[in-house]
Amino acid sequence: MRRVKALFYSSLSLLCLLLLFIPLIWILVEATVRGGYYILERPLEFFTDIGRPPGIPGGGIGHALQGSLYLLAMALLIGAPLGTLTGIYTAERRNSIIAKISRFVSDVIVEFPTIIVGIVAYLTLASRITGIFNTGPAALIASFSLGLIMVPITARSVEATLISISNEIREGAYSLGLKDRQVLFRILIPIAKSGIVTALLIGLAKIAGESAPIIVSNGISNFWFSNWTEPAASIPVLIYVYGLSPFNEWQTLAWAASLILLLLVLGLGFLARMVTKEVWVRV
Amino acid sequence: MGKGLSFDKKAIIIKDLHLSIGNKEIIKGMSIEFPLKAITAIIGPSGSGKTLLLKSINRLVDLIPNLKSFGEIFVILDGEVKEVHSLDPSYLRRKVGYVFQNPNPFPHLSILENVIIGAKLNSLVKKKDLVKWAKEKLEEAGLWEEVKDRLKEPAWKLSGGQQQRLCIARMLALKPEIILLDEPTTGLDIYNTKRIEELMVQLKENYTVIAVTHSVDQAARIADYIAFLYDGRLIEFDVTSRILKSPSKELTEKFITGRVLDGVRR
Repeated sequence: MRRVKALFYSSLSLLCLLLLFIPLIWILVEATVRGGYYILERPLEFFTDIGRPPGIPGGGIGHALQGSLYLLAMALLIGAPLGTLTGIYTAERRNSIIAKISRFVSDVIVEFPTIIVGIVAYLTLASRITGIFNTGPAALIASFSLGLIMVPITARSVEATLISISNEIREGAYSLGLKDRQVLFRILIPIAKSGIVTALLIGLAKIAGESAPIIVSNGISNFWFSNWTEPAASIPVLIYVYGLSPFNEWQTLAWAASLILLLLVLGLGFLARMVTKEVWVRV
Repeated sequence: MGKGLSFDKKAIIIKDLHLSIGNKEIIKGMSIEFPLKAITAIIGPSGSGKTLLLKSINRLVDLIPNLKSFGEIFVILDGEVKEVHSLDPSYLRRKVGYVFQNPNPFPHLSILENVIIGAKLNSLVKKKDLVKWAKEKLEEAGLWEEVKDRLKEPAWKLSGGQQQRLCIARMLALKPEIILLDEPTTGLDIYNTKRIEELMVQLKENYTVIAVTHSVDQAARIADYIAFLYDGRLIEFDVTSRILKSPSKELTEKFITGRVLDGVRR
């Protein structure tokens, strides 16, 4: 009887796993069939050219790749220090009021619709009426929104990594007469290094596919990146705009771009897992 | 400071120490004098306050949230009587070394780096002398022969007993005067237990050693003095032979003959 039960439940969990995989594989296959062929047909054009006007075949997503790279790099520059420092603070002063508030706020913001973050960033920073910079829709504002979106998820993962270091290691460091700063920077952070990198990769994976906050804060661009105060193109927005368009050429580009984005996010996920594995071997 | 105290052949004098975590009082008024350059074993059932007493001496208890303590702890460091709460904790912890129940080498550092990190970050030894210093301390901890060819390897590759001796070397590298050991042989095999016990006996020639131990037998093998704690109080303190042969308190006798269960009756 017990073996029957075990078989039943393990089959059930296998089935659930398969169900989970179906959409992922489906999207991958769909994107490959509908867009992948285009990448193989015109690889150079696809990666280095910009989109063509509707009706004219060819073109590529070079501008969106470039734009995404800029947006994500700046978002990382803004979000990584904020997220990492917040995580370190909440881990090392875990009983303080500030840590408790920050933890609560992080948990709320993580579940926040990201479009709201984009709108808030736009209104406070970019809007010509109320904003600080008065830029109007701009790449910098999009990066800022993306950076903010990655803060809570990064902070929580960094915190979890630091907390997982056993108390005896922490006490051991203090028992050597090390000061708070030395314990943190010479012992705890180096031990948690891989975990912190993983946290950043997870944060990056989360924002890599965001389109809504970019659309509301940066608008839509079909050109190469020109300036931080101007709109920039990006892969998720390109997928949104081209995918919804009635033109076959644009739709093909959108599928191909989806494939690239999927592979990018999957790649980040795998990278994060590989780095995490190293952590478990070491601690 | 410490007026009226006689430090004749004493290293530590604790006066009326109380300690509680949250609302729970764990050490309920304890006064002890620890002899200089001798091994004192602290024995007692779990929950009697042994570890917290030890951690009070080098103020590792400061790291415990919601902990309150009062009372005075005087130590002789660099030839002067000092009250621990008036000292810079960094200086105090350097001078009063601590070895934990479970070996806790730093996993991201090599064997060599583990030994020198404290001395290096506290600038106790000149940079060019660090490796020589590490060798000396590894020899003192009886580990040099086993690790001399693998100093660059990560410390977690060592066996449990070797890791514990590495932690002892790491602590010795800080030039301490007092050494606190919290059940340092827990979970080690007989061979490693014996090595560490021999090491402790060697250490008392140059250091004052205080060791918490769960085993009366171990106390009998290594200690010059025994302090028996029960339920947050010092029940008896005397030379080892007297505690073992003719304890003056009934509770002590019950404990050393195994008639008090390990665990405080509440």
